[in-house]
Amino acid sequence: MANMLEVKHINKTYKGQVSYQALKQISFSIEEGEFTAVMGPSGSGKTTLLNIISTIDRPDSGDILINGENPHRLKRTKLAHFRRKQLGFVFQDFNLLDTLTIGENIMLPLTLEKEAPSVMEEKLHGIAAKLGIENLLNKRTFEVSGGQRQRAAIARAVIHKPSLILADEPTGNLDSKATKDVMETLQSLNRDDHVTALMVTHDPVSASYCRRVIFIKDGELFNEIYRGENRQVFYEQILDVLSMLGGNANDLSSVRL
Amino acid sequence: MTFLQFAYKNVTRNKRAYLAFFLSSAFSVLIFFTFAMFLFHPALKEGYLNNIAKKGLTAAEWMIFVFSFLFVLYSVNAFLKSRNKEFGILLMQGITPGQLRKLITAENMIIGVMSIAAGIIGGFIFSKTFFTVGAYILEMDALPLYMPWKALGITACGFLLLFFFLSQFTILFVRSNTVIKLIKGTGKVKPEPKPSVLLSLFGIACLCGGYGMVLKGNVHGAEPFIILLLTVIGTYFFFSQSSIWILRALKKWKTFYLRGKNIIWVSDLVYRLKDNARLFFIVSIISAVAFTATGVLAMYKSTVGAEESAYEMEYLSYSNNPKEQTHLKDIDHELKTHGFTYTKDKIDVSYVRYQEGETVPPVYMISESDAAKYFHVKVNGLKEDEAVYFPGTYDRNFKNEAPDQLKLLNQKGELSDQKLSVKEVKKPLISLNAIIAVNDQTFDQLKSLGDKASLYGYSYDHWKDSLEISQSLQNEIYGNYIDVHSDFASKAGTYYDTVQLPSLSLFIGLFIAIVFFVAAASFLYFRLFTDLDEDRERYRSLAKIGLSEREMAQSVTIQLAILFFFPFVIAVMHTLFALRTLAVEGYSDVAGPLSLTIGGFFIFQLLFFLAVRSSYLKKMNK
Repeated sequence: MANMLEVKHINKTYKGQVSYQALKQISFSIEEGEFTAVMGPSGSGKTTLLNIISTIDRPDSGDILINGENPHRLKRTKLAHFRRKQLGFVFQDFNLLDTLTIGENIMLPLTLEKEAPSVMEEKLHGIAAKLGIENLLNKRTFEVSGGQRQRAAIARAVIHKPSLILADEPTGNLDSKATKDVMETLQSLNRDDHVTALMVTHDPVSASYCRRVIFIKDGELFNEIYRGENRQVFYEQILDVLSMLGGNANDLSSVRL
Repeated sequence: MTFLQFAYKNVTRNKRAYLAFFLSSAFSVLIFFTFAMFLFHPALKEGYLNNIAKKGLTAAEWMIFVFSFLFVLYSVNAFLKSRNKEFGILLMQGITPGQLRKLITAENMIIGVMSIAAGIIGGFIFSKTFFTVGAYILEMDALPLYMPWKALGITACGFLLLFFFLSQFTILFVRSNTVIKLIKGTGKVKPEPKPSVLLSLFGIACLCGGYGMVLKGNVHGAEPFIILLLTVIGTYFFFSQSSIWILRALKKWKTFYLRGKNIIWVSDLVYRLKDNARLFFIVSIISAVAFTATGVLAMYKSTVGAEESAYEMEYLSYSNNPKEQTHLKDIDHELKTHGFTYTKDKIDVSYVRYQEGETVPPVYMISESDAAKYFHVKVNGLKEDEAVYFPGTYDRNFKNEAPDQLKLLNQKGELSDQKLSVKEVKKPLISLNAIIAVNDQTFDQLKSLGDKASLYGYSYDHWKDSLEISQSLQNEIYGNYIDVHSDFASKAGTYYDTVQLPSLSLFIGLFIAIVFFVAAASFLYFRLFTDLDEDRERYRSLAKIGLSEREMAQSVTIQLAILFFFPFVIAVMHTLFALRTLAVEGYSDVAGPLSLTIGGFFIFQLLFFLAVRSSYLKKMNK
């Protein structure tokens, strides 16, 4: 399968009184239809990485190719069209517009694309049915729960069938029940509709729904593992890598070996 | 949901955020429209008075428009800043810069149209009051309301264009390459403002220099200009540098700074002063100008009493005046055709000059018996070399400057050996000039020193109605100012120059000052409410470590009070010094009208302060 996303030698340094290199020569690629999580301890650079891939931040050097195109080389209007067509976003704090209803929020990408209202309605009901939020469409954002809001955000991210979904800690603000709902939603979108998704998280439960987990530490690739058939086993594996990541050598030998 | 629907929903469902923007725009429209209505009023179409009134009003209208422009620009800017996150989300969803501009334009036009409508409706309601007050001040009958198509058109078109062009500018505020900053906020901690010690001292030095020059007294030549310059420069640096410098010095005073809530408001105020320095500068200068103008005009108005003249019209004809009979006929004719019943006096006058320092001012010399006959003043018992001095009505302020001794000149302009000592200074008799009365023998002796002239005095009732004929007579008599052998003054004309015109200027000046005052307060309001979320977060975390609600309220109150009254105090100080210069120049009676003006503005500001404070605290405690 073709590479949907290629990340090549990305460097990013935050300048300030104390300069700090967030990403060092990061390279990896993601194939079409993959569901991947990026994990790492706080300050490892995972959100910076996601921001650069999602074109809302710029790398100091290196290239991002999405479907063979480098969005950082595009002019503003072209970049807007690129985001609109190729990318879908899900955030930790949902980022829904409070002035709109849930349904209107989901339709927003189509509104910007100037779709015919009938087409919008049709697509809206299709996706809402799939995500189980049909009865919420006329509610305002502050009238529904966090999990429901996040599913609305996911609906907004996929309604225009983008090439790649980018999610930044999508379950960070949710309880375990809502986390399960949201992750199963993403999982089924990936499995049934072959949506490609890249997610940043530090929650091993959320990560265990993915097919592949990339670990980074101090701005560098550390490890990656693929999931087998069993999610529970995958979860254990993720915990193992995390303990190696977070602790020092002594912890590792005494606890795990 | 189409794009336009989206824009519409954005506005209508987020009323609270748009409310402040809407209100300030509507306020601008209201002021502008009311003024335009006044300006284009059919009753103001004709007449001399109305021409000058119109010029003043037109100038004021322009100022208001320029000010509206800045005001709306500022409001839009503050408003957009508070919506950065929303724009960030839209940009993430792939809105193009073009679409974003369309969205902002659509929103601004929706708000614009609504605020124009609201402003115009409000203007209709408000203008009834305005017309009554305006007409009262201009001494006309109350103006009727009318259908002001022209004012309506100009207001609507002007503001629609304004909103449209502002929207085009506003896109510059939101740049798409900073999406992450739009969504997450800059995250940067604002560096603490670092005032330069040199500039701080420079500012204070300028202010002290300006004030010092005033205190030194005797301001003349280029000095007023230098004082003005020093004060303006000093004020600017005082707000932008010195005040912050002082606060920072306060921080180093540990026993004060580290005590209770001081640490909270002092550290916070440093940023707020820095942010608002320019605003404070403008407000304090404009307020100072308004206060001073009020003081001067009110003083001028209260000290010049045209009504004190014994005659409603005065005409002085010199001995060589060829047009004497023509002019007299004209005056008679004008008064008769306009239905005034009048009496006419003719007084023999000697037009003499006397030496006073470098100058040779003229004075009308009349005899003791004429003074008694025509002006009903008894000056009996004057000795040969004595005179009674009656200043002109214009000179009343300068009573003290009446000469003690009059060294008379002869007709050739040389000093004669005749001297008169001024026995007494009395109230003015006429407007044209000062008069001296001497005893009859002396008058006969001395009258040949001056030109033998005739003073004609006209008395009639309802003189306030005679402004128009007075002005046309004045134009005719003075003609093109060549070869004038006569003088003319009228009570109505003098009254217009000394009472009505200053009142009008005062009216316009105060109106503009009020507008700026409200604007400044609204700017502050905007500033405060854009930062409200940040403040709430800060106070919330302070509450967690044990700051009580009362202490929070106190800290907020101190800060707001400083923000609201700091420029005010500076403006009052400037005014006091400015009026001191004038007091030195001979004016004295300023305290009354001035304290009334300043008091009025103070109450106004106080109400605004209390309103903002309570709404701020309410939002804070949510």
